[in-house]
Amino acid sequence: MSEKPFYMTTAELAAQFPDNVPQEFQLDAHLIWNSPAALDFNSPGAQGFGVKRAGLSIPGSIMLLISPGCCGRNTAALRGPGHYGEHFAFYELQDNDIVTGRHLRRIPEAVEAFVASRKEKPSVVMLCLTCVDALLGTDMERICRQAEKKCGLPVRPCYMYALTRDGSHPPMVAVREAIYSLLEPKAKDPQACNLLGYFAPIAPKSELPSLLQGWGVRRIRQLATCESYDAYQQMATANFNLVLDSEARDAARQMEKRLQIPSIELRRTYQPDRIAHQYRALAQILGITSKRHIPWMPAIMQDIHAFREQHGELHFAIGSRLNANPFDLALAFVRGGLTVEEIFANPRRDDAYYIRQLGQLSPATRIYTNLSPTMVNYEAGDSHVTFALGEDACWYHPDVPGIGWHDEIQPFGFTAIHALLDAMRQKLGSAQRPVQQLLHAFHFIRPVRNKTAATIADH
Amino acid sequence: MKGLRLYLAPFAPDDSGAAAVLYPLGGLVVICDAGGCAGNICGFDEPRWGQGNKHSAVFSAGLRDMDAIMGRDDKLLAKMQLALKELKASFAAIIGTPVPAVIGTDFRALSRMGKKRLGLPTVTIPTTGTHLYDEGVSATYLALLKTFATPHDSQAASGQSAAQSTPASQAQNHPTSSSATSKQRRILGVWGTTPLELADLDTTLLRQVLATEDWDEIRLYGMDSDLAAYQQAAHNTQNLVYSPAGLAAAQWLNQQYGTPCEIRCPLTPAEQTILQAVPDTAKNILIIHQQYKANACRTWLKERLPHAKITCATWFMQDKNQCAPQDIHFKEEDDFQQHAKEHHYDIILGDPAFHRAIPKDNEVTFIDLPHFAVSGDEFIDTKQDTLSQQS
Repeated sequence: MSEKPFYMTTAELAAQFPDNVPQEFQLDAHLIWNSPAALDFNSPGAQGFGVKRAGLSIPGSIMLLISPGCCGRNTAALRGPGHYGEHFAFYELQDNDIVTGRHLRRIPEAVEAFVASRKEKPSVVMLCLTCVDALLGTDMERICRQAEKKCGLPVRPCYMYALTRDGSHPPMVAVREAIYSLLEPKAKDPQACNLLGYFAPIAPKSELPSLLQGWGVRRIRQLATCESYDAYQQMATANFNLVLDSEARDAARQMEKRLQIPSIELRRTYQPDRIAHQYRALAQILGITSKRHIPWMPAIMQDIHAFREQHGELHFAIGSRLNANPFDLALAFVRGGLTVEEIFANPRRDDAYYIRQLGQLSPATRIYTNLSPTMVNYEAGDSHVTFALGEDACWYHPDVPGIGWHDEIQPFGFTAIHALLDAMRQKLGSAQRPVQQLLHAFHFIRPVRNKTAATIADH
Repeated sequence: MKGLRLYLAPFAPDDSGAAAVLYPLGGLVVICDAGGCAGNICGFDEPRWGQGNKHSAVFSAGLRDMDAIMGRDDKLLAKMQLALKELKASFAAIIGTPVPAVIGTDFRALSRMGKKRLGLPTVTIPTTGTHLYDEGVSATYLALLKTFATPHDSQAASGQSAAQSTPASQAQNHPTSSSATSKQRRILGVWGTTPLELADLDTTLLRQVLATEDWDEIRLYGMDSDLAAYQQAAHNTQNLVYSPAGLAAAQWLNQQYGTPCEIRCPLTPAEQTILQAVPDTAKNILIIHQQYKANACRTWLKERLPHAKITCATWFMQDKNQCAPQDIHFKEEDDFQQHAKEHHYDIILGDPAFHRAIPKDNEVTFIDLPHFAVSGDEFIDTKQDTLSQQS
């Protein structure tokens, strides 16, 4: 018994990744330690958006959760004051229902009663299903059609199949498909685009909307900012979708097929040169030829330099419960001249680039997995970490300053880097760099007059 | 409509009850699920979770679709074996959820296989997630007692460890040894006390009430008692059944070791103060809680309001022997609403979550009597206010 938490240095992992991943990093090879650091994994809806909250993103929607009582238990937390009280109802399955499937006959009636019980007429009813129906192979599409006839509203299934989490179509991918599936084909607006991927809006100070507006994309829609069902339906007029989270990729494909809305994917990264590169590529696709479309790169580099000058001695622990890919963030820090001591995350195949880079630039950084049972043995006292980033890293390092960086409002782009640095400065008690200093760079953005974003099909 | 809940969220399920009992015992506790149930248990139903006690680790089996389809019990045990290479555990426990219920996992076989393969006593609780927490609590108490309880001084007599001896042999060899223990040290075992019953993790008030009865030791099973308390359960001088969830355990100890048991739910001063909020004019009162607490509230109120009609209701286990004729058991939300509508209560005492389900046209005064198994921490601020104001 080693009684030590399992970890690998980035150099060790890079040497064998992704072909020979140790079983501690393979989710199906060990028990999952249900620590607070892993809560987002085991119970994605406990904080942030899981299937239940995500399924209610359509304005005016309500959800009937059809499951054994245990699956709906934590929904009580979502029903508290200021939450989703009126939006949830439950159909509790008993043993007999599971054996006979008799509950399926009653669901249309239950939906009708649910709709009738609400003060305001809902726009859509989501039927949320769990592992039980995954195993029973319930044809919920058929039940939805029956329920639609009964209540006169659109009814859609929402699959909360935790069993398929590591599959090709995990629940958070499926729910994104479900919530965009109600869009009806509409005439295209060449000056409109959608931002797909997040269930909360991107940070209002993000440069992305103003950048797009500067390029002639005047109407930028996000699900989270749609205030009505009609506003949501306007998303179908978009000329193109910007996919900001890869879990929305399938939904975007579906929209392309059904609504003829093509998509472009932008990754959230904290590496300034990669952000600039993405924006240049986007500009090229949209037919923007201006040389001045990435004006704030020097300002952000200055900001990073100033942070390093002031806090270069910090040793960071970076977790995975935060608004970033932890490996990307670690690489950004290392490239910015900061020291990353520990990363708490499970590397995925997509992370191979970051791991290789980190293996070269910061070979001693330790990668721990939040989910391995060996993490029970983790002791913060054994490390040199002086600042924790992410809810999980903060939990492992309660005695050092740290920030969760886990707000629902989604940081994106250069302003995400600036906001992160400022949040850390604030925590460390050092003077904040005035936002204006960075934002003045944005004044370079000028709307491109008389020019609309070209349709993607043209490129 | 049967099964439909328009106002009430599901109550704590049986797997949460099982986990609540096992949580403080230092075993390798595995929720046999895909992850969501373990998240629900720890993130919602287990207020002790995340408070820094790493020995109380709870794991998810991390089942995936093919594990369920193929029924890979051997893989689960291999995962547990791997975990035990790195962790200290005195026993292993596997808690059922809807997934093993649907695929028909043989928990008895899993227990035997576990004992053999892990080299540890392996307790399996075949909960399904479709029942309520008290059934899980009850089943887990019994499983632990049957696996671990040893009669007084049995180890010295037989030379067996707790894990090696079987309950049958223990019962045969030492059927009445508890009486000898009681002369030496007065121990009260309290059954049916888990965080799901008590709205407060701080058991000081409950202990203070029980301490007036001159016990040398008070064991709150499900709260802070460790595995040794189960191993030595036969040493208890007396068992107190705090909620129906503890009844089967106390009866089993009575049958096996002759330990006397008493059904009683002592009310803390804070709870008594809640009851004082019931006005003297009240004539028709409904109390909704776990049955024994509701009964205790009725007894307390009856002294003050001898002419009031007081009905006790529960959504959980109901012990017919402790029922008054007017008492009621709710199963469906509709039943509750219909009952509240028809009986014109002046006062309803219950968890704040029930307030929401009472028909709006009912002119009733609702008094909060928190029950964690009902609303969890949904109204945690209200509950803390209620309890702190009262105490």
